[in-house]
Amino acid sequence: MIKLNNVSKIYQSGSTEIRALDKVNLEVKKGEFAVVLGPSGSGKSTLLNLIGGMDVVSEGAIEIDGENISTKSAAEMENYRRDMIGFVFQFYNLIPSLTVRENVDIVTSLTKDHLDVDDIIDSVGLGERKSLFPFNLSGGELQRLSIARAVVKKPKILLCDEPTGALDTKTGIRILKLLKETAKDYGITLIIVTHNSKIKEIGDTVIELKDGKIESITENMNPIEIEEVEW
Amino acid sequence: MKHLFLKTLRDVKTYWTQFLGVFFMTLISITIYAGMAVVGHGLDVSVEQYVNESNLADQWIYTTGITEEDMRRFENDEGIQEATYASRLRADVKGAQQFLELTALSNDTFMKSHLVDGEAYDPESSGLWLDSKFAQDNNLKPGDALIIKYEGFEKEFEIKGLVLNIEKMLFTGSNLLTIPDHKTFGYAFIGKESLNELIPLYPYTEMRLGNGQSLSDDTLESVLGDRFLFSEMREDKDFLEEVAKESNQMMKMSILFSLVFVLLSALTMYSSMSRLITNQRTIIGTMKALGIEAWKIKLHYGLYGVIIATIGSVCGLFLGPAIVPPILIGVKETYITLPYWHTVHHKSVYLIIAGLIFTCTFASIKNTRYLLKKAPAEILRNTHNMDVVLKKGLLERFDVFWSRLPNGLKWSLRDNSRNKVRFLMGVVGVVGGMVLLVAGLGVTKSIEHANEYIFTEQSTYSHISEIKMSRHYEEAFQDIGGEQEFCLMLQGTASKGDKRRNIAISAGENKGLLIYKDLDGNAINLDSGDVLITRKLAGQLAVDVGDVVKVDIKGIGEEELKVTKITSNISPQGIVMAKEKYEKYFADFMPNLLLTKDARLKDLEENGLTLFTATRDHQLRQANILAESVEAIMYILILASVVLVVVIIYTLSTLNYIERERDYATLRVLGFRKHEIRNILLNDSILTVLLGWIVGVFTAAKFLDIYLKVVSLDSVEWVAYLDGRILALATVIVVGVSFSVVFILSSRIRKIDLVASFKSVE
Repeated sequence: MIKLNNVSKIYQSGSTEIRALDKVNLEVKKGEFAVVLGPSGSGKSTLLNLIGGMDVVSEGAIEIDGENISTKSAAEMENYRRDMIGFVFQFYNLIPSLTVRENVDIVTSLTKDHLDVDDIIDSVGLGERKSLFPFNLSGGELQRLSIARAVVKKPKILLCDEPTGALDTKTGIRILKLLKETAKDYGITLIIVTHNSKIKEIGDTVIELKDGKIESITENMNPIEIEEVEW
Repeated sequence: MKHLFLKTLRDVKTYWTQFLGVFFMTLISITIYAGMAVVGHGLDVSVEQYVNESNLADQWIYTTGITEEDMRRFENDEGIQEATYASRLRADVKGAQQFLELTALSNDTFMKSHLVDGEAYDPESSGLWLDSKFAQDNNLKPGDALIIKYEGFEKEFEIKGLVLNIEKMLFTGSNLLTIPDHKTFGYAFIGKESLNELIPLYPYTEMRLGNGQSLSDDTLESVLGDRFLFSEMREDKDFLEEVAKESNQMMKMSILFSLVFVLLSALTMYSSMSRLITNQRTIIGTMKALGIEAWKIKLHYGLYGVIIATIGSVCGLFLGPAIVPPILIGVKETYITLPYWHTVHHKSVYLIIAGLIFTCTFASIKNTRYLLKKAPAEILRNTHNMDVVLKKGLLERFDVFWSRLPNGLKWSLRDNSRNKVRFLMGVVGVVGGMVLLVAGLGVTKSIEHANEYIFTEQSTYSHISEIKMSRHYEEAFQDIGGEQEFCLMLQGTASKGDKRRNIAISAGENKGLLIYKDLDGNAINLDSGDVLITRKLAGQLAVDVGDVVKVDIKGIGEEELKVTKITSNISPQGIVMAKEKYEKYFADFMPNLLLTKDARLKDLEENGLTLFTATRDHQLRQANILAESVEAIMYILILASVVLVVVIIYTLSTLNYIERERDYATLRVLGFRKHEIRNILLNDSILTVLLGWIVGVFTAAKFLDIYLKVVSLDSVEWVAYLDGRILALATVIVVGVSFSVVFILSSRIRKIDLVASFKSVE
């Protein structure tokens, strides 16, 4: 379970104090699919960075499965990211000089307990394109590859920052479907950050942020299938 | 435009770490070149001033004696208005083991000395004008008295002044010495009257003509008859030629080495500036999208190159002359005696500065232009180098091998293949580092090795004596015991066709105290009919065994000799023949050198024919001191090379790192540890260093060979000598620097802003 207690993130810009997150409290249950919604500057990416161990809280605490990660050292945070977290970036952040297979395979060196590289590539639908380089793939394929790379090391939490932000609607739908199915198949807690409000209908929990504060947290008792969303 | 100019200045301030490499490369290149060139060119300018100050003669005439009648005939019949007549002899200083070359002048019109202290020279005076270096080393000053002895005659002279004379710029006092010993040997000027008070009826033996006057050898023979020996024009004078060679050698040394410096810097700067601009692509795209004219954008980025290269060059222009000359002139002054040594910029330095500024500016503008050709959206998309379609390299075709490679290494290999120029620049940096260091260290080692060779492999004597030339040399020295070998060493020229060289001509016995080796290193048995030519001279004159060479010995005569063997002896460069051959073609054998081993030293030194005796060890020490002057240059270059290697490797590695920082950040987010990313950095470095090292070793060996050929003087053949220690030291420095840079850069990995990797490219 992911639990945030009074979490604030404060940036100092000259003499001005910017509260990117302000006393945020929330919970995401294990295996849940959470959608974080909000306009630009609402603090959703900051929230993702704090949960992902890429940034440290200014105030408050973040607990992952009951353990407070806010007090961890840099090296412990490194291990936390390595063992617990998978990332999917808006702009993929793939290594251009490595093939599809190698981009996934490079992550397997991080852990002995990982998924089979070929299986995961097959499962994201890139089985026929393993020997190609990222440049040869379309935007949707790049994001599929990015998902495969994130999932192969069996993370407990999969964090996605605007995963469909650079894709057309049709491809975006496919990617969301893939993310949801993959997370479900491997029992991964999935958090997607987006400014697209249509996505909220498919999440188990919808967290809406505005000006760094929680505006609402909605438990979606009956999430609909992605294909049913009216885009 | 005002805002763009402000942006330029602010960019330089903001990205100073990226500009620092370019600044240092320009600074080092110009510092070294300008520093060495001011010494070399300054020597030319100083000598020119010295020549003018001395009113140096245009012609020197050597005789066995000039009478008053001759002088009248020169004036009346040949129209000689002004001439300086001189008598020259080697005298002793009473009560000391010191020798003075005493010159009595009729006037000093064409042999003016530079007055250091005391009164100006007066040929009518009874005083003496002493070599100021000799005076300095022996604590003598104007007003002191010196008793001069010459073959039983002696006279006390008052020192009227301390002087330096241009004709004595390279004065050592003995042919056995390569650098001056001011404590023992000096020179002095007196008037003719004074000379005759010391030695009655001693004639003038030399004549100097100037102000455009000269006499042909035929005229001189008609006036002087057999008393005429030979004449020399100013361009043939050894001391001027030697000093010109010295300055030439210095310029060649600095130019050749600096050329590598400048080329290396220019290549690296080109690469650095290109990448600096590429890293600005988003801003360039934005500016274009905003509608700023292309020429303004190009001018803005062109100024990057102009500002940095100009600042670096101007700093180098001041720094070079401030730090290099004190070291270099100090060492050169051990054997070149000048009253002043000006430091003057050579005009070539401005050309090099212009070249460097052009390189930086061109690289900036060219890359800006390349980006500006694209649509703004395309520029902003930041697909730099992503659009290079990767093809399978040679290694990838061996799947069995390739599939076993770690992904990090595959990444490095493919990345380098995609960024060939970037990779090549890294390799060039390592190659350049190896070349500069191996050549720098190799030159010093080669010269030391050459000296060792001359005084161990080429000679086995323990003492060498300068002796008075006499037909009765054997009888004169028969009582000193030990092994003896007499030798005649003369100066002259060798020519074949239009090729001509000043050389040493040796005639001697073949008794094993001097050893001549053939091209395979075997000792040559010098037969009575043999004429040997040294390898370097043979190459210069394009002479082979069986060819005929014209040999002209000063004051003796000219003959055509057939070369019978080529010797690999490295110094002195010239012609060697048996005494029988010399007697057959030139004159009676009257040696001027005596080589001995196990002789009674006291008897040798006290012999009336012995002028000066030196040990072989002393000669080696002197040669090594002389070599230190070259070594001093090399140490400056080695130091600069190390700094340049550090700057180049650091700059290129930093730019590589900056371009990949986003990838490293991604890896960090994915969970890679610092040392795992450092290993990827190391992979990159190993590839570059390995290839650079292999190419570098071969290039360096070739460069050293060429360098030595170019910088060595005619009198010696420096052969490239490379041993494992030099290669090891150069390797340790280059590899050490490369890997240290990796470790420095890997410390940045910890500081990567992981949050930034989530953000879009803007």
